[in-house]
Amino acid sequence: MLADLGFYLLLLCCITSIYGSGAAVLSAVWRHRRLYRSSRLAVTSSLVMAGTAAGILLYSLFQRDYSIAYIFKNSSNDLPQVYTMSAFWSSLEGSHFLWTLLLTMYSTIALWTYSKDNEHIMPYVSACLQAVLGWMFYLLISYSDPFVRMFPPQANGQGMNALLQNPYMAIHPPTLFTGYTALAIPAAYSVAALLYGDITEGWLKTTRRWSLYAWCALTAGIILGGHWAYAELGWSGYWAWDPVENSSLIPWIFCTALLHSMIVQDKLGHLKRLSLVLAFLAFFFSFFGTFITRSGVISSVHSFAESPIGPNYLAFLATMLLVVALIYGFRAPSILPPEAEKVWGVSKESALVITQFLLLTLASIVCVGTLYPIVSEAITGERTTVQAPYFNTFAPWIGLGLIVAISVGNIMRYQSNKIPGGFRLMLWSLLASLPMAAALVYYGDVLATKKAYNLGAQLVGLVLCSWSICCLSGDLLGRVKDLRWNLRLFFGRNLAYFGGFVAHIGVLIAIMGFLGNYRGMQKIATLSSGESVDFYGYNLKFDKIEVNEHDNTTLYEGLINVHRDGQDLGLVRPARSKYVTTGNLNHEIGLLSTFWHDLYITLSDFDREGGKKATFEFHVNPTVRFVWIAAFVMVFGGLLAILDRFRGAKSRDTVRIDA
Amino acid sequence: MAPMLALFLMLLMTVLTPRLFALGEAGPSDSNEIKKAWPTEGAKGELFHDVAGQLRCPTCTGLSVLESDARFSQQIKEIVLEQVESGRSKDDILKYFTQRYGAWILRSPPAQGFNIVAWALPIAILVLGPPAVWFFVWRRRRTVSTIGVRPTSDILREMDTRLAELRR
Repeated sequence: MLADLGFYLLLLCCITSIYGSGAAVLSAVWRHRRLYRSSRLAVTSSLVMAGTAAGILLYSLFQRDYSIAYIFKNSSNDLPQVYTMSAFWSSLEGSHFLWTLLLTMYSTIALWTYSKDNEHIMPYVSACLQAVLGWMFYLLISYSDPFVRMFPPQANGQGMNALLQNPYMAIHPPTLFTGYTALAIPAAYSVAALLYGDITEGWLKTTRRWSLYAWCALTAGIILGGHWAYAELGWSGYWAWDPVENSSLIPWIFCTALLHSMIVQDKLGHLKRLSLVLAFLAFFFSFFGTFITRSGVISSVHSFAESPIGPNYLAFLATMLLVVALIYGFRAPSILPPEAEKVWGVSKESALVITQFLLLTLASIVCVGTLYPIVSEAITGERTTVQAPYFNTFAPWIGLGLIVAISVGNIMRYQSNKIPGGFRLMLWSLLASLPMAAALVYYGDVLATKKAYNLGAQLVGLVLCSWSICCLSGDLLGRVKDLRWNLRLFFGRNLAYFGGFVAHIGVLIAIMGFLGNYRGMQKIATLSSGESVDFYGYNLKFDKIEVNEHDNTTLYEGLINVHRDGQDLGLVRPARSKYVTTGNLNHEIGLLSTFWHDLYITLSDFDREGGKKATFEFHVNPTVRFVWIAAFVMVFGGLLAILDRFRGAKSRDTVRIDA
Repeated sequence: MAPMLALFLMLLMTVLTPRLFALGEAGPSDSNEIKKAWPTEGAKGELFHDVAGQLRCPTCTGLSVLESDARFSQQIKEIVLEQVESGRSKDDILKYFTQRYGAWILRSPPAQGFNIVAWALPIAILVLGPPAVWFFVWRRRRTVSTIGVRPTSDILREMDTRLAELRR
C-alpha cells in the first residue's frame, strides 16, 4: 500500500520536474518572473514528494516489508539497525534514488539561496537542474524502481551483501553522492551563463562555494571508500585503480582543476571559458562514472545490452553532451575575456595553467585506462585488462609534477615574473626540508626498502614533499609578516589563501602516505597453535581459533599475540566471518596501527576440525595513517576556504593579498 | 569401462569431501589440508611476487592473483610457484599464461598491436600537451568578435550615463 504511494509520489516528481524545466525555459524566453517562481516551486514540491517517498522506503525497511522486492533483496530480519538504514543505498535502485533525492535537495537549496547578482540566469539554472531531475525521476519509475512489489511476500529477506555491512559503507555512499550532486550546481550555472550570454556578477562567488563544497564531499567520500576497501576486502590496500574507484576520482580531478581555474578567473578575469567547461565536465563525469560502473559495460561490452538501464543512460549522456556542446559552440564567443591584453609569461597564472595541464592529463590517463578494455573489445574483439600496473607507470610522474607545481606555483605572484625573496625562500626551504626528510626516512624505516628503484622513488618523493611543505610554510610566514603579524587581519581577509594552504599541505601529506606503498612488506605463514613467527621486529604467536557469534554472523577469529622488543602489544584478532543468510566467508582484518605503519593481518585459512592450525598473511603497510590524516586536513582546508567572505565578485576591490 | 570408472571416482570424491563442495568460492578448506604459504623472501619469493603481481585475478575486479584468495587465483598461484621453483624466468612464465588465457590475464596490456594505443595516448598527451598549451593559450592573440554581445559592466555603465543625462 505504502509502496504504491511511494511510486506515485515519484511519478508526480517526474511530472513536476518536467513541468519545472519547461516553465523555467519559457520564463527565460518570455522574461516572465512568476513563471520562474512557479518552476522554483515545482522543484520544491519535488523535494517534498521525493523526501516523503524516501521516508516511505526507509519506514518499510525498518518494518521489514518484504513485499517490496528491493527490501527483500537487500535486507533480512537479523540485519542490525544501522545497516537496515544503509540498505537504502546498498544496491542499484536505492542508490539511484538517494542520488536523485540529494540532487533534488541541492537544486532546491541552490534555487532558494541565489544571490541577487545572479537573478538573470536563475531561470536557466532551474531549467538545467530540473531537466536532469526529470530524467532521473523517469528512471526511478521505469528501469530503476525501488518500489517494485513482490508476490507473495516472503517471511525473510535475502540479506545484505556482507561486504557492505561495514560502518564505512554506511557513510561512504551518501558522502560521495553529496559531492556528485553538489557538482550539478556549478555545471548548471555554467550552462546558464552560456545561455544567458555572460558571466553574471555573482557567478563566481556562488559556483566557487558549491564547487568547494562538492570538492570537500568528494575528497571525504573517496578516502572513506578507500578506508572501507582497506578494512573490509582484506587485500591490504586502499586503492586498486578499479573502475568504480576511477570513476569517483575523475570528477574529483575535474573539480580540483575547476577550483584552480576559478582562481585565475577571480584574479585576472581569464580562463572563464575553461571554468565553464570544467564545471560541466566534472558533473558529466560523475554521471559517466555511474554509467560505466552500473550498466555492466565495464565487465564486457556484451553485458551492456542485457540491462535496459545501460542504453538509457548512454542516450541521456550523449544527449546531454551534445546539447551542451551545441550551446557552448554557439554561445562561447559571448563570454568575453577582459579588455586588457594578456601577457602570460612566467607568473602565477602560468603556473596555474600548468597545474591544469597536469590535472587534466591525470584525468585523461585515468579515463583512457578505465575505458580502454571496452574500446579494445569493441574494435579488435580481444579482451584486455587494464589494472594498477598501468596506472602506476604514469601516476607517480604526474604526482612529481604536481608537487613541483604546488611548491613553486604557490610562492609565485600574479602578473609578475619576480618572486620576492623567492630564491632565498626556496634555498632555506631546501635546508629546512633535509632534516625533515631525514626524520621521515628514519622513523618511517625507508632504508629497509629492498629494490633500489623503490628506494630512490621514496627518497626523491619525501625530500620533494618536505621541501614543498617548507616552501608553503615560508610563504605563509612571509604573508603574515607583511601584515605585521596581525593575525586577525590575516584570518579575516585571507581565509581563502589559508584554506588553500591547509588543503595543499593535506595533499602533500597524502602523497607522503602513498609513498609508503613502495615499501610494503608481506609474510605468509602457516602456524600451529603455540607456534610463533618473527616479522619486521614483531613476534607473532598464534594461540587458537575462537568461534564467536555476533548479531548475524559467526566469527572464526585467529588469536594472535603480538610482542615487540619484549613488550606485549596485546591480542590481534584477524577473522573470517560467516553470515547466516549467505554462508559466504568474509575477511575481518586484524589491525595493529601505529603512526608510522600498520600491522595488517588476515586469516587466510584455518583448520576447521580442531582450530589448531592456520595460515596467516602478515603485512606491514607504512604510512597508511598519513592518508587518513590527509583526508581530514584537505577537507578542513576546503571548509576554511568556503568560509572566506571576500572571494568572488567582491574580491577584486576588497582584497589585495599579492601586494 | 572408463566412464564407469570416472563416475565411480567422482562419487567417491563427493562422499569423501562433502563439505568442500558446499563451501563455494574463497572458502577455507574443511580438510586438514591448509592453504599453502607462499614464499615472501629470497630471490624466488621476489620473483613469485613479481609474476603473481602481474597476473589478474580472473574473478575479481582490480586485484592481482597475489592479492586475492579466490579459488581460481589460488590455482594460478600454485602454477606460478611451481614454475618459479623449476627455475623459469619471469618472461617465460608470463608467456605461458598469455598463451593459455590470452593477453587478458596480464594486468596491463602488452604494448603490441592495437594495445599500443593504450600506452601511446598518455605519452602523447604528456609530450604534446605543453607545446599545445603554449601555442593555443599563451601565444594566441585575442581575436574575439564582439558584435552583438557586450559585458554586463559596459551595459550598466551605459545605463548609468544615460540616467545621468536624463536627470541633468
